[in-house]
Amino acid sequence: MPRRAISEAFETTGDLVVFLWRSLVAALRRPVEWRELTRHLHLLGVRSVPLVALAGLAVGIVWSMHTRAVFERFGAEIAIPSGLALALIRETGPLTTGLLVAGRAGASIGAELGSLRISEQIDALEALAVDSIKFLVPSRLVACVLILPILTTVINTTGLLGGFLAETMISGISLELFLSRAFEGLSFAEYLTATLKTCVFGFLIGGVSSYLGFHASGGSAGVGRATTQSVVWSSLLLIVVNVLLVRAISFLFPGVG
Amino acid sequence: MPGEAILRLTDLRKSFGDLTVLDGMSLEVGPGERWCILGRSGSGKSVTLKLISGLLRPDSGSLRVRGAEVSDLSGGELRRLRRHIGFLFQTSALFDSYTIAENVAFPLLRERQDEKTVRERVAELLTRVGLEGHGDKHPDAVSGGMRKRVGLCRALALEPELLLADEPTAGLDPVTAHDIGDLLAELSEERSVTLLVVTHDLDSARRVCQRAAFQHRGHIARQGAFDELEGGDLPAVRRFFHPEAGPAAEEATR
Repeated sequence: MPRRAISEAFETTGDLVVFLWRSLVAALRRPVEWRELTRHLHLLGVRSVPLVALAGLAVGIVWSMHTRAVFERFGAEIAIPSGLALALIRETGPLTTGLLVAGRAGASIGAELGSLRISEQIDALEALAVDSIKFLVPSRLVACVLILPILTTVINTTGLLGGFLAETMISGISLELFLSRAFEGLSFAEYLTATLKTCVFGFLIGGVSSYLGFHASGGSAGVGRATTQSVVWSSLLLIVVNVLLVRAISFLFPGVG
Repeated sequence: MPGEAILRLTDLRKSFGDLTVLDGMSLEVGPGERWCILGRSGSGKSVTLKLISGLLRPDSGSLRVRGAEVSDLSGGELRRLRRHIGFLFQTSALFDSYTIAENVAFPLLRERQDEKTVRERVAELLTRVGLEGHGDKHPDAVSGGMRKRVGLCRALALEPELLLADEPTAGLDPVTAHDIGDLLAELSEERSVTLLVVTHDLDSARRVCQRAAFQHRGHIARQGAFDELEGGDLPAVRRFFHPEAGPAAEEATR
């Protein structure tokens, strides 16, 4: 890699870290921009529920259908509910939710802030003596951090529902029995750590997308670039950080990870 | 600070990569004066305004607004200074998710003024610019001229001492441009606002401003009354005032 590209990569990483730090400090400082926060909880959270719920349902159905053939071969159909719950709650649910939100909310944040930058609305905020980072970023960041664990719970729930529907059509298993088998091998601590780690995903999605939108330049093409990069970088970082988080959780909570 | 310059630019330099936009820019504006910076497109006029309001930082030189060196100010100090500076953007830069009334109310509400006072002030400003009854509309539902008026109301909402206007008549039809120019002159006069307009619209500049500075090759090449500039010795200025004369005279003296 040429020296210039390396130095630019370091420069961008440094800028991103400073931006995330400033955003975090701004998020903890009063006043809270309630109007902006409520708007983003609705836009990024509530409006993502149908997508996430449907994705969970599909994952649950497909997982059950695929694994049944294998489990049957070993006479272990009884383990299908717990296998699904384990896979879904510990990894598939959080990661799928993270990637879906990176696609939907990441693109939305990158495009909206990019447009505000290009149309000089961010400059206008600054000219009106408003700290533009404080006004625009914390609401998006906090919304992403709050919605991720909730949406993960939604995907876990509909995923289990999908698995149950697929199973009950074949074996006629009752919902009560399915759920009791599903949660046999899973502790509440496992659910909690796996779900709460998505707060970190939310921070990455909100922070990286805000940074890219905030620094958009070059007219509508620049907004397009910021939007695409928001999705790509949020997803990529999320996947990499997930590996680190899984290692960290198993190290810090040996019984859980 | 009676008599003291509200704005003093000394030997300002600003580059973007290899492109030098300002190269030794100097200008002094006294309280209550109405100045315009003239110059061809790309001569760095808008960059000058963004430097004054602290949206950009100069590479070197001194930039003092109300006696404060802008480059030395912290984020908080800069925001306190900006309460005294109104900025009318070339694109108006209205917040498109807010209504017209909300746009004008925005800086007032940020100052924690009570809602009744804000409502009255917004109504007063919108009435003054002929936009009563339009407060509930969104910026994309009104014309370019109306957006400029809203931008002007928003810029004046906090009663600034200094108003910076970036190409206030650009993209408007001649009648609307004429009206916006008049409005700018009237409002700055009745509210004792120091005005610095960046424009290449000579007609509106003559009506709105008392003095002009001609920005050329990154610095103020000439300044004074309009007649002095027009009859001056610099070919680039003469060409600006009389574009029909053709490039020959300007080229010959380069």
